[in-house]
Amino acid sequence: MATSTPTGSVLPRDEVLFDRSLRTRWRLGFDRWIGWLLPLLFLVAIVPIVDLVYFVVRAAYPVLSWGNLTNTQPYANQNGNAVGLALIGTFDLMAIATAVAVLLGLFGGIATAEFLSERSAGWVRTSVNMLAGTPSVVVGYFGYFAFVLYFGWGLSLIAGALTLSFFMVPYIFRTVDLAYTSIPRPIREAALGSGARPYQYILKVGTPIAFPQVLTGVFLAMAIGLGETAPIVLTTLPSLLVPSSLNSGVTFLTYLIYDGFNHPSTGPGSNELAKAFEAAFLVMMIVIALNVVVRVFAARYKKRLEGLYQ
Amino acid sequence: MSGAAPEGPVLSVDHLSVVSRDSKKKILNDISLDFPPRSLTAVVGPSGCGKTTFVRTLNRMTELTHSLRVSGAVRYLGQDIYQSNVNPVLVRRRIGMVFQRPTVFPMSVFENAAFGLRILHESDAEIDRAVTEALVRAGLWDEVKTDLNGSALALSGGQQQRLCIARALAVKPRVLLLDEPTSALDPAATQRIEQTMLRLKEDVVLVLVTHNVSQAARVSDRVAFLHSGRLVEVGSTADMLERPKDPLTEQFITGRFG
Amino acid sequence: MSTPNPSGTNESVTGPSVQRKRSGQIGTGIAIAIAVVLLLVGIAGGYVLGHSTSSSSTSSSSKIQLSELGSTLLEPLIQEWGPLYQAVNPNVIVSASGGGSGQGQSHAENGLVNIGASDAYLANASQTSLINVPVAISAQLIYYNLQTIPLSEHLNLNGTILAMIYEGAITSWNDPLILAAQNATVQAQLNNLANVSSEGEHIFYSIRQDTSGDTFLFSSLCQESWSGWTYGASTGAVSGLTGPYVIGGMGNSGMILALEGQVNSIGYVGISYKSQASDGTPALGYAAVGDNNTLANGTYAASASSYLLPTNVTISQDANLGLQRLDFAQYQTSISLILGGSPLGAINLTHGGGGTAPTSQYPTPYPLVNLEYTLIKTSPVSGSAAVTAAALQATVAFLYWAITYGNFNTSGGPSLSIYEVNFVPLTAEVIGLDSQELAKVTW
Repeated sequence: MATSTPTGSVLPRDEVLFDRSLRTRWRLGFDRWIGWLLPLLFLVAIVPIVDLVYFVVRAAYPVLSWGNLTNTQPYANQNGNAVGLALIGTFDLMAIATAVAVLLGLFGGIATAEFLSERSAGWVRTSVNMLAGTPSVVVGYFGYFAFVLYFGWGLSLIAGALTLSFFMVPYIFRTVDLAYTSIPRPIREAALGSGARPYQYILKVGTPIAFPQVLTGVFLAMAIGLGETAPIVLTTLPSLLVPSSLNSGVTFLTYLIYDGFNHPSTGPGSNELAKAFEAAFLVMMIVIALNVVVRVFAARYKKRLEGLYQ
Repeated sequence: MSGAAPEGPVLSVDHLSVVSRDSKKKILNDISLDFPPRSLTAVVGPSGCGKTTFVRTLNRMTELTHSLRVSGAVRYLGQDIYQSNVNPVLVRRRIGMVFQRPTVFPMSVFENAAFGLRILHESDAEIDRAVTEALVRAGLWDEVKTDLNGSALALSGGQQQRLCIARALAVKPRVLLLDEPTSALDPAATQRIEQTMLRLKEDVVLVLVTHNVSQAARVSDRVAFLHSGRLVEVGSTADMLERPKDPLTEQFITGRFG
Repeated sequence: MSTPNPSGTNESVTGPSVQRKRSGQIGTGIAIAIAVVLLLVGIAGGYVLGHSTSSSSTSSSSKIQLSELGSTLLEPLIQEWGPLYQAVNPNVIVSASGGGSGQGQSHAENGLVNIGASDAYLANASQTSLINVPVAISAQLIYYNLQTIPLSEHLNLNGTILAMIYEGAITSWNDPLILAAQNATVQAQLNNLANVSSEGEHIFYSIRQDTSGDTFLFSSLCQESWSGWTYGASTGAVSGLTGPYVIGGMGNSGMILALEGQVNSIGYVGISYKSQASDGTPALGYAAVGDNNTLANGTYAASASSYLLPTNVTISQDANLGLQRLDFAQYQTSISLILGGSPLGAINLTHGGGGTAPTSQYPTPYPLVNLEYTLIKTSPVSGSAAVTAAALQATVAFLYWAITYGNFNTSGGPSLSIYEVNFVPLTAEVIGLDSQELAKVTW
């Protein structure tokens, strides 16, 4: 039996490539439409984010000024719209917390990836995952009872920073662990086979390969830490002075957001909500900056490592 | 490196068995084999016969996998490398290894070749000399001499593999283990590696794992045939390929399984 | 074993000189370096920025910072006082923060802050070497969102009606019990509600979802006023209520937002939030709250004297009325926040004896009144960075200023800061008690 094609030639049925069945047409149509649908869904996802950013920027705009960002006068920060103290406080908290978290996460992650047996490594990973899954307020209470009360450090910069580091350690640990375990086994064996001791392998070969991932983990952990509020509120004391020691009180950006929504505007010249949005805007900007840095770094290093273990 | 060539075999394997701790399966079963000086021994056998595990026991690389238990002896110049007071790091310096795929490090070509020497804290002058010599012996010198500081990752696969050979050679090992070094390479690159091997076997004991009988025929002096963790037969390349004694060997060589 | 060079390669070996450079190598240990740099930059940079901008007028090293933490109702007032006190004592900075009354109490107990702020009197304060020092009088307002009642009018409500609404015993705004308490105008407006409101005349009641001194104050009034009240009197008495006509929010701001978002609703809000409630959209009205024993008899008649709006006079009278029944020195059990105005007397007022009905001395007490307490240590806490001898001395000086200059202006009226947060200045009786308490502090 022969049938004709749209071009008019007559072919045996087995050889005809055209298919007018409904099912095939539906499938082809679906393939075409899904190409439109997916970008549409992406728009649905992106619109709330853009709207959120616009909302925050618009609310913060009236009080955003260089003067407000750098002003550290006590009452300008408490009753006015100055956020200089909170910026410095956030910086101090993040610096100490990051230093501690990087130290713990890096050594812990490397030890787990390189030195521990599979069984102990599994235990360590499970514990770290549990830490990551602990509600932030619980961690905050732990910090309060351990650092503030038991160690007697009081509500302080160091208690807040150490509590904060608990949130960053799991992220850094996990990326470090993953970064070192995902180095191709033969690369590791080649280094050890060349007579390197494990630490020499880690320093000279492993770290350069794992570095971009580790750095990404550190920066994302910083972004995570930057957003934490409750645990630091529980372990620090708001202060109107620049921290002068590890025992000082400290004001930070997310505290201003939390506090701004908690009580009404007081007196002329003060607008707690605008200040809360000002702080929210700054947090957002820092998080975006961290992410941009991560992307640029990661892209640069990825290019550098092209050709590894091909 | 000095001293006269030793009388006996450089490396001898004596009743070697390897058992997996997890599955209790015997991966290697009572293997005895000698590797004399100036020889290239090809270890051939079907997939899963244990040839890669075998070659990794020869410089204690198996230790990096926690789940293997080794019994029997591997003697390097008469010293059992599995004795408890033997330093595995020293073993691996004397018995180098090259892997299936190139394992260059993210460093310059020069630093890759100098890796083992830097660990030994050799002087700069010695490193310069040894790196150059190793690159020449690995047959890579002419291609990289103008850009020693370029990234090793920019080299082609075949060049990277020869760089790995150079890196292993730079510490002047007496034995070099090659675990299917050309399996990831194209025919031209394979040919260059094979030429390098032929040159090297004059002063380094080479152990080549390969699943490719024709490669064994091209480069090896001796062939050892492994099957299901047992050493079925070992002999000169010509004898093994033309007059195999064991029917299993004959079946493998004639391509009836593999 | 010697390794002779393959022939023919000697020239190329000696030809180009080998340069050793690590250009192709990614530096090692960078991750650790970054952490250290961050630490140094963070702290050093922070100090430089901080000192360069603040040293011109103030030197932080010679300053004493007093930390106040707790009640969010009191926080705005302390915020107002800080800069004013700086004019008196330039070396003392008072930082005000929230966290809630419970945190104010526990942080003060643990010597973590100089001043704990609480809406509730802390019983057995002496056991933890604390004293209660009221620094202002606040009140609670009953707000409602009713479209037919203009802001110039005020509903008349009392503890019984409020309790019955929250218990579900009264469900509509034109319930006879509610109408009986209103004047003719408001009665007509309430009866008209069904024609105007999308929700008919059904009542929506709003709760504080967090635990709060406001809920304690409100539920105490309900408990005393109506025997059918089942929720008891506590900071979380009604916080778990659910149902189709229950709305709610976190904090006073959340309560106001809930009321604004639901017509026909009613809820309780601290007086500090008066401007926020009055300036919102829609603006919320607030009730006159009254003595309610006549309602229980079923012979209710609306009279101006039995329903009182929260004013300085009515609030102060209630504070003094309660104070008469309150012996700060001996009182040991949990104390009601309600100081007067209800017919059954403040609950737990076992010591002062009897009810807190209006007296001839204080004939018009507004019933939902509360003292705002600060809690301070009576002696320095060893090992505490906050409660040092110098800080304690400065704290007492600040509180003396607060209960006098902080509360009153030069002509004896409420100070601007008290006025701005809608508080009422302390009465002479409370100030007298405060002075007694502050005299116990040693350093």
